Amino acid sequence: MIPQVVAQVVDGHGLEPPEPFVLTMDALDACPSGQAVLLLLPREPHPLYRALQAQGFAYQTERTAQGSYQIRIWHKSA
Amino acid sequence: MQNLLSFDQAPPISAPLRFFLTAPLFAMLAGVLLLYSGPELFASRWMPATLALTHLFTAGFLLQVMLGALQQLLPVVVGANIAQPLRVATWVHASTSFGALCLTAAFLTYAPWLFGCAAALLATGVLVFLAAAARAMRGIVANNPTILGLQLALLGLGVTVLTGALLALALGLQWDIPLLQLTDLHLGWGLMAWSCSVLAAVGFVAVPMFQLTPEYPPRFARAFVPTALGCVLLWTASDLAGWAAASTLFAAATVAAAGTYCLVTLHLLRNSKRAKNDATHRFWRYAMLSGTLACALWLVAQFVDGLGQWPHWPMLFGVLLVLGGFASVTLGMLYKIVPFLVWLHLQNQGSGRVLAPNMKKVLPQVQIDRQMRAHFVAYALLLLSVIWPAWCVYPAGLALIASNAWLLRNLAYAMGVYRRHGAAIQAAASAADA
Repeated sequence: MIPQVVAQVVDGHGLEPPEPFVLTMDALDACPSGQAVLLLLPREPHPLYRALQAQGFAYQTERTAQGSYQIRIWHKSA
Repeated sequence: MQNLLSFDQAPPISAPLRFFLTAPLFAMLAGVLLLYSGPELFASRWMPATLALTHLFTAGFLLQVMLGALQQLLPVVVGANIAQPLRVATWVHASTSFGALCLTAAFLTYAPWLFGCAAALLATGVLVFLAAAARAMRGIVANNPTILGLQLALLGLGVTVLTGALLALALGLQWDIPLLQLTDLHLGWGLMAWSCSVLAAVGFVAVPMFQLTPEYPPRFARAFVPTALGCVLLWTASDLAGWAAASTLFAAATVAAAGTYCLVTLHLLRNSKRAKNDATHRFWRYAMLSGTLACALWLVAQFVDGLGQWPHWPMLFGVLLVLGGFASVTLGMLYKIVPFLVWLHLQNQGSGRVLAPNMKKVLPQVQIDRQMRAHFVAYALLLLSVIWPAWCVYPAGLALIASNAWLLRNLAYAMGVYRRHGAAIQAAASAADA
């Protein structure tokens, strides 16, 4: 089940790589079980997807009407 | 912090880096050729040494950097993983680098067997890469301008290399084909359908992401590469059909499209949110200025007799576009890609136990700034060489060798950081196991 409570929002707009990735991974380290991290980005983060799959995280991506991306990430065991 | 990329899917760091480390060697050879050939190299674009020099930059320096960068960008930007990346990199790198060397030697000696070797090696290397990239992108929907742009640019690369191989074989085997006409089409496909398209497709992501600019206007980004490729196709068809007026019109539309891309990118760069513009920003800005000047020069030369009859304008156009435009952009991209790659792989190896160094320490800004100045000095001297070859060609050759030796040194420095931190990670892992 997708957690509805967002523990932390990481806004990657205006940040130079790899800062959004680093902040997201740090946020996931601190994310309580049953909650999610919400990442906001202007484009799809393909390397992050692979890292999330490899490390037992699930994610759901939504493209907004403005063309940016909202990625909700949570631990699969939650 | 945890791993960012799993190793089974990330291309090994040596896959792209071998291309990056080879590229400056071709530009240094171009400097040696300038010193060896002297002022006569600027007499005409058709001089054997001039053709060799051009291809040291295009089939050597630029092709190496672009192929290396695509190895890394396809997984990161498109989500397309090249199967067996190390094996593909080994074959493509060996084939294209020896092919470019053979082509240079072929222009300088006109030995038929060298033209044959160059055609076979360059065509094989590029086609292997295209096959690997096509396989990786199978099933990926082109739902953004970068993916579509890269797909079309790779098509442009295929046509460029096949027309180039045909020209090389025709020169070597004395085939009776319209060499001048085919050369101009090869040039159009190489500069516009391949180089400009791949630069634009990558730029749609890289400029906003790394230069912190607003996004490209969506309609422009969607239409640019298909329009440019459409213009090149129409130019090719009308030229082959012998419709001179239509051919000139479509060629002009192609060049105008490239100039528009440069102007739009300059506008975005002016609106960058960066507090302080770094070297990569300057590489992009001067590249776009050079590209704009090159396109303006080409258009004026077509329609103003006085300039069109000046024998040196094609050389000036070539230096502005290839060294000032494409080479400057590729340097700007290299200085973002290489520190990121080193950081990424060290982050993976460290697995959170040993932190990767800050990206700014992988390649210090001061070293990049110095190499950038050397590059622009070499570029300025090469521009002046077109007008005053006797005075400037030797300093230009020396400056080109120096700036690319500096680039090689910078890349080697980043590799040194990678090796030292890799060893520290190994030592930490051994200590933890003991």
